[in-house]
Amino acid sequence: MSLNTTGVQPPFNAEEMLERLGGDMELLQDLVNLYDVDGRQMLSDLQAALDGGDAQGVERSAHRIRGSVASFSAGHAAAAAWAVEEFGRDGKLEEARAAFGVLDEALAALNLALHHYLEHPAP
Amino acid sequence: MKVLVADDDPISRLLLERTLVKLGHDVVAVADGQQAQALLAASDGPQLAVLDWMMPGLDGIEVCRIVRKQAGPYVYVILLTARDRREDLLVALEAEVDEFLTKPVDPVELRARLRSGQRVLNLQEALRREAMYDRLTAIKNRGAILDQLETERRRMARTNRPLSVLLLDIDHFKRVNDTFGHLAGDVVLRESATRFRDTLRDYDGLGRYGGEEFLVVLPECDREHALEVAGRLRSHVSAEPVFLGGPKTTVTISIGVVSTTQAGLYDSTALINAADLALYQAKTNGRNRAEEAVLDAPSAQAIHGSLAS
Repeated sequence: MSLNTTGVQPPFNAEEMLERLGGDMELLQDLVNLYDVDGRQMLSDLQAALDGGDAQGVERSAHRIRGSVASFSAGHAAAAAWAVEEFGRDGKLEEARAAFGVLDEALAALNLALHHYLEHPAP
Repeated sequence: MKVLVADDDPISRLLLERTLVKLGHDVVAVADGQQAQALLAASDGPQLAVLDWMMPGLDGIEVCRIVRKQAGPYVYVILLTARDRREDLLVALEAEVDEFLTKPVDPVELRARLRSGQRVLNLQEALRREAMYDRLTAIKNRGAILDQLETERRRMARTNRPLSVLLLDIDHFKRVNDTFGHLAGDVVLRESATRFRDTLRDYDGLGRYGGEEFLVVLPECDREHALEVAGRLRSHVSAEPVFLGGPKTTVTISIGVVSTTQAGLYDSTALINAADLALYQAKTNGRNRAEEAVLDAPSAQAIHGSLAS
């Protein structure tokens, strides 16, 4: 299976992430399982905050997403979440909506890449 | 060591929890600030806390502010933050956060921070003990036993349970010092304290009140039992002579006993003064004996205060 991700950088830095996890693949599996459920929820929370014009909610939800994806060393997704968070903080909801599109794509790519990695871990 | 982790993000929380368990810690993980604050307020709560800054309800900073106001053992607070703006860090420092960790947490850094936290807590504990215990006898010092008396007096007043206080004085202690020297006097004080401790229940209070005087606080103990305890203390301390490296000496004590079932009507000073008068009686009546104090009638003001509380 080939990964069709946008951008030049990989969705996450496997080496850095594994170092953080102490090489514990079982823990990675647990974290990805948790992320499958929780990541979706966080994204729909963020979507709801954007739809409802709740700038503070946008900041908070994006912040949580940033914290989660940072655990996987997902630099691109974390940067996208940070952009949404900052726009939320500044009350710039239009810009936040635009940045949300980038985040959504980055998260989809991350999800795919994490599952691929679990099935075919690099030596 | 017991460590509290508070983070509303389940992924960061699980990662932290597993990392800490691997480092050999006993971890309690919660998802919000309220739960964290409640756990840290418990008397046997964790003394090391890793708190996320942004959490629903109470955030990490607010939890830290509350913790700093509470009495009891020091809690070492490590704040997790994705914020690196200068003004944010100033807010955290003003809330008396001990350390920062940026997310995602680097396990090596986490271990180092926890180690320094552990060192600070060990020092705090050593200082706390130093401030509470008498160095010679290893029992509570005057300040600490007076604090315990006040705590128990209030507790017995609230629950209408009896409280007894014993003031003990080693008989002819000056003679021990004059005959065998001050080091021998120290041995007598240490050995007597050990024998007193062995005679009392775990939750009874024992402290060195000054010189060769000791204060015993007996919660839930009426006058009849207090007199029994006084008798046991006297017989136990004198049962075997104290060995002074060559010579031996038999230690006897005089005791003033005061008991009340209305702890709300007397302050700690009144109880100690009464016990002191009874102790004086025991001395003048020939030593190696216990005398019971008669409490003065409480003042109208004390009765009024007791009814009002």
